[in-house]
Amino acid sequence: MRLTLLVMIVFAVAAVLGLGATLRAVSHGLPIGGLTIGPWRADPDIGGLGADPYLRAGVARRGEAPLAYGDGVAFEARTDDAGRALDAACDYTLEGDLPAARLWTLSLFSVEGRGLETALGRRGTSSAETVRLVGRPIVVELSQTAKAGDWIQLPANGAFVLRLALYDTALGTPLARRTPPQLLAVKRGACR
Amino acid sequence: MMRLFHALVVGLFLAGVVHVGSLLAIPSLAPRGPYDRLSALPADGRFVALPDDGANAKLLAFSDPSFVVAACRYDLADGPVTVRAALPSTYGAVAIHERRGAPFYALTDKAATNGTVEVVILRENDVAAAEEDETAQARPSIRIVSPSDAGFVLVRLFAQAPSARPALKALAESATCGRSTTPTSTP
Repeated sequence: MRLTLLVMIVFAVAAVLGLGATLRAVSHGLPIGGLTIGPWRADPDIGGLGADPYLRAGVARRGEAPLAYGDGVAFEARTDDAGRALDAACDYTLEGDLPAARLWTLSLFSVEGRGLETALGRRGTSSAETVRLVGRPIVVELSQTAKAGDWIQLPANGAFVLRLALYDTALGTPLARRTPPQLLAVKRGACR
Repeated sequence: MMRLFHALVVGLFLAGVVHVGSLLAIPSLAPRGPYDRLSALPADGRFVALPDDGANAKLLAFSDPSFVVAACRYDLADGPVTVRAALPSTYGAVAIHERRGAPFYALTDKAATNGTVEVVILRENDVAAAEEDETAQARPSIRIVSPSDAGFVLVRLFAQAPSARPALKALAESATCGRSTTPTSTP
């Protein structure tokens, strides 16, 4: 009787801890590894067959077709600079300069990776659309109400994810990873 | 008490085994991986643009809205597959992904000759045969060995403005990923 109980404890501990660790690692990613710059995080290794099992499992779960090495590097931000989760009820200002790339795009997604529905239907901006002033950094405003400058409308409510993709860049190479450049700062403004 | 402690240690050890095993099994067991999601399109053996709205919109998670994407699922069971795509100089890329979604080869419009790229995808067993067939060609084709029999190819074209999307969609869908006719000879 006591042996049966012990065996059941062994299997219960194994199942709960083992599967729990898998679920946690696949849905949140590993806290180590990857390329982290401020609130932005990228996993350049996802763009090849050398990706580790954690990255592969994440791709399969999200249903994503990641960018290949030679194509580009995609950064994701789920928090602002102070570590607070991104919320559509707040205004955000993204400001800074970006490393050398042929092209960059900034887009908004739901937490699961679907595009967001807004009244205007504009879901992001890119290096072809944004307006830059000589000698000034890139400034992008995120808000539910109209703002001067490059403005992306936020949805009515809920959390969202920012994705900054740089195409044709050397950023993902091992050499460049050791001296990461600055990316856009994510500053939170007023909240409704 | 001591036996309970032993049971917990054995349980922890088994938890590690369960974690590694389940992690390695996820890519083959996940029912909604990128390859499976593309089955909603008639994209077997030809390129179909991913729609911007409707039920099939945002088929692939975290798909860049500034890009027009067309997908083609290939199967190498009946022989090598040739991918031919026109890439405009605004930025275009062809990315080849294996069955579980990991990309293993990508070309951008920089690699294009006369605005198009051509890649032959084959199985490891077919490499020797393809090399024997090698005849003098004006343009040597690029051969890529796929780690899995099935997989998918994405043609991704950058749209500078929403008004450019319809034309780019037509261009992306004009790409082909049919069975190779051996020997491949391009003038």
